[in-house]
Amino acid sequence: MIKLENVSVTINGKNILKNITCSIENGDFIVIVGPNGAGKSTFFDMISGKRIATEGKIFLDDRDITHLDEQHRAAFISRLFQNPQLNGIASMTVAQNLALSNYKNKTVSLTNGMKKFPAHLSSELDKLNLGSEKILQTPMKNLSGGQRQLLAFIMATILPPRLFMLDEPTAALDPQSATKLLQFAIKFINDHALTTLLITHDPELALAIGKKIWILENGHITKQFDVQKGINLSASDLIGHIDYQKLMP
Amino acid sequence: MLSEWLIIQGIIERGLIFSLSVMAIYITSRIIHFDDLSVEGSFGLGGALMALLLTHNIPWFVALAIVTLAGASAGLMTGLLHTKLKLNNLISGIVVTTALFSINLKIAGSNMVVGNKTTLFDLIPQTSNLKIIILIPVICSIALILRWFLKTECGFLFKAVGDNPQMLTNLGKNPHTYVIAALMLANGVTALAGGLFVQYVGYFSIWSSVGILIIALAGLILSESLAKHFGFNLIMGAILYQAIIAATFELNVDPEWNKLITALLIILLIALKKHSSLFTQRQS
Repeated sequence: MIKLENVSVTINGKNILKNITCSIENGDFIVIVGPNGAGKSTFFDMISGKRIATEGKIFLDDRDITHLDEQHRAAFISRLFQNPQLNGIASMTVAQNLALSNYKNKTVSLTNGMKKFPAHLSSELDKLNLGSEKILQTPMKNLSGGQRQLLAFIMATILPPRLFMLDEPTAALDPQSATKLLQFAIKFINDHALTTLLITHDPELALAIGKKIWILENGHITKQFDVQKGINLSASDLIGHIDYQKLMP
Repeated sequence: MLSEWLIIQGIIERGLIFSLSVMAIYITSRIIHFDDLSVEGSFGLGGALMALLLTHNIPWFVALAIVTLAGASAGLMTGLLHTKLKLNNLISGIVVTTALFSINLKIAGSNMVVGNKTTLFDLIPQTSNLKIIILIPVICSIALILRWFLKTECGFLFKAVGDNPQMLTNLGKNPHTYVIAALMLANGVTALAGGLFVQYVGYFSIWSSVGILIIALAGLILSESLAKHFGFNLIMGAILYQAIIAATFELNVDPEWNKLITALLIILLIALKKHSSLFTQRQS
């Protein structure tokens, strides 16, 4: 369980996140929605350790991780970025990227860089119909955005993390690639009961996949919905709950 | 005929030594994408220290190890300035190179003659003067070791940090550690080149290190016209550059124009490369 207690983040004198208190339970699938500039990405940055909270405390179970940096939080948090460029090494082949992603939480040495190649993932690649034999030797930069995000998803979950964060992972993709990625991701997340946070602007998607929906506005979590408890909420209702006028100054 | 062979031999020998600096520039600019100007100072540091150590009767192989470590320390300084003090890549390198110019002067003065001290090249009979026999296996071995290293797990992380430092953080690794390690490796290798050059010519001159960066860059660009990967193409690029400079000697061009010729060569090669890529794009 991850618990935030009165967490605030101030950047250049601006209070981006304000006194947030919330809990992310094991197995939660929380979708975060909110207007642009509400602080959603900063919320992710603060949890992943990219930004250290200016005030308040963050706990993983009972361990205080408030001042733990991003590199060390990566041991239990994985993050998929909106920008496919941030999710892999463009100049390296897919096989090399997969091997590299398996260095996580392991010591590296002067052995062959491909030694940690996760051969067991070949079946996952087959499921994606990416032509696994050929694609393995293809440089990452030659793949489409959709293929890159799919592989990035596999790479980020090579060691199932305690918390998985997806920051608008389909924003840069065409609808077909976005659907393919989401179908694969949702099945994987449910099969492995991954504790997941996902940012989206799509209310229908939020309602379709989220077990919980949080609305983040102006640096506060203003509303929380528990979809599992059978609340009667439509996409237009959800939009109605978001105050798009309440943008950051 | 004999004099022609001697010219070709000299071109190859110098090319082999300078190819180490080309390898260093490849590591910094092509792998970790860090335009490191301290490589210039490290070459001089390697040379100055080598001259000093040899004149103090330190065995040549110990001296080579020491100059490599000294170069690595210069790389460490550049890395720390960049990662800890957040100095820009170029400024970090300029600061270190500027500092090293004074340090090199203090170590060996503006000139220092090694004299008849034993060097690596004494492994072959003095009369043969075929230093190429020593240099080919030594330089090729270093190139092969570096190529092997770049295929190891550490080498993969070097490539990764240049392309996407966020990825290293995602893997729980510190990107700064790998930037610093790569700079240490590159500067160590170029200091080794500086040390070998002093053993090769028999003296140190503070001016011999000036412009090494641009010589290495010219070698790198020439090598990339042969192949883009890390391999013997880097050695060929360095030799090709030496051949071009030697050709200007043959054409009786005043050596004072060498640096200008190098600069023009780089501009020409880059312009040709851009033109050819534009042409390729049009074709496709």
